[in-house]
Amino acid sequence: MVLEIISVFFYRNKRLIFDNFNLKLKNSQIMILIGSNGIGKTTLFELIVGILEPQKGIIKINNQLIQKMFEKKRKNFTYLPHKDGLKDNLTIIENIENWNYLSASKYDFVKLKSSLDYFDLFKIKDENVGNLSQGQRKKVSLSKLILSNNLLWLLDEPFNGLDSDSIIKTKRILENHRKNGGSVLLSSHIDVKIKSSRKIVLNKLRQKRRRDICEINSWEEL
Amino acid sequence: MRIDGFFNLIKREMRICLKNSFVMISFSSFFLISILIFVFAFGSGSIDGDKLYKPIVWVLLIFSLMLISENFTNNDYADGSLKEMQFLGYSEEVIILSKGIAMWFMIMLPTFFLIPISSILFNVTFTNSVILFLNICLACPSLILISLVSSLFSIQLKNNKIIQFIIIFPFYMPIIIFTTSTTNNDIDGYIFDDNNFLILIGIFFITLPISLLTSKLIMKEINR
Repeated sequence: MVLEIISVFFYRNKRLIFDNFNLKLKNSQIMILIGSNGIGKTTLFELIVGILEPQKGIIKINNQLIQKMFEKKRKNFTYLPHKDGLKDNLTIIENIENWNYLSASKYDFVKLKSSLDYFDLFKIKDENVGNLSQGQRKKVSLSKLILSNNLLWLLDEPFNGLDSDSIIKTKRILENHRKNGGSVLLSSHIDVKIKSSRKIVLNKLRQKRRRDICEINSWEEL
Repeated sequence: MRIDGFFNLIKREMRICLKNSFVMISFSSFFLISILIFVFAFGSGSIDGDKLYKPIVWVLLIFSLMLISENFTNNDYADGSLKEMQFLGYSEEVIILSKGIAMWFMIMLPTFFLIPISSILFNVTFTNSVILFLNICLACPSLILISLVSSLFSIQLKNNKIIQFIIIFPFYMPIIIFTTSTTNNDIDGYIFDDNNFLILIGIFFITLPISLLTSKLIMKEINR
């Protein structure tokens, strides 16, 4: 199991967000979390990557407790949060290089070029990120996935702000990653269709209790 | 934490700082303009340069530190890179330490030129300006760490600058007392007293663990 969330209970700002929440992600699997705004999708990702700690429950990545992973984290998963972490005053290539240093990936210019080329960003590689549109920023962020060697990808709203061509390109990356044995957990507030993916719908807690997860059918074909 | 990870963080911070020339320019211009205001306010002839110069420099330094420290934390918080560093497995202490080192370079580089210029404006002797520069070199790490804690406080307190200032200001006091007392000994004609320098180093070693621990707690609280 790549990712295991077992009986997680999380309470934040006097609000119960997860009560006995369970989730399992296997190898070569794409799972889509669907839920309305403010339902707790980003919170779930922050729990998974260890920024937040659940009051109860266990979260494991590759059979290791996330709280005990420390610097091993960057070798086990790639997380693209909703806030992209890009610096406005740095160029596209400088931002990617910075991420490359921090994530301790091996610097490979050819791979970096191909990752930017894939989203048509290489020709504007020396442009400051502050001058880019929201969609272009998202593409810079998504190009990190091509550079990543990790098998587990955690993507918070990866399709936000993207045009239809880029959405297709992103889906293609995800599908290729799955074919190569990788796993993806991604969130979306809209219904996205990706081949052979599994969908999980997060529902609001009603009064004290909440139905944690409600599984819909798995998608076999688009 | 492996040492190469720490160097990667410093490299990242330095790259951002050097690209963001606004930090150095705003620090230098604030410092220089304020010094000029004091020079014009005192007028010519009647300035007791040695006595007034160093306290003025220290007050300006503290204010400019508070001014620029927010660039090191608030921007990272706003664009999500503060969290990014955390989920990539870098500990909060190492993040703050790397920011502190980058900030120290960003302050010391312009200070190296600003101190001689402002010493000329205040008719301060060469020896005194060298002692002041050494003082700044030794006291700045502690002041920087405190200002980084203060800027993290400002995120936690939703940019409430007044409360931030009230909470943090008393921590500057010991450093100011010992940096200016070196000055007084010097002015009164005493032989150069290096005890205060040792005290400043001692203060740094007290400030370092306390500020790193406080920063870690604040960062955890911000995420919550």
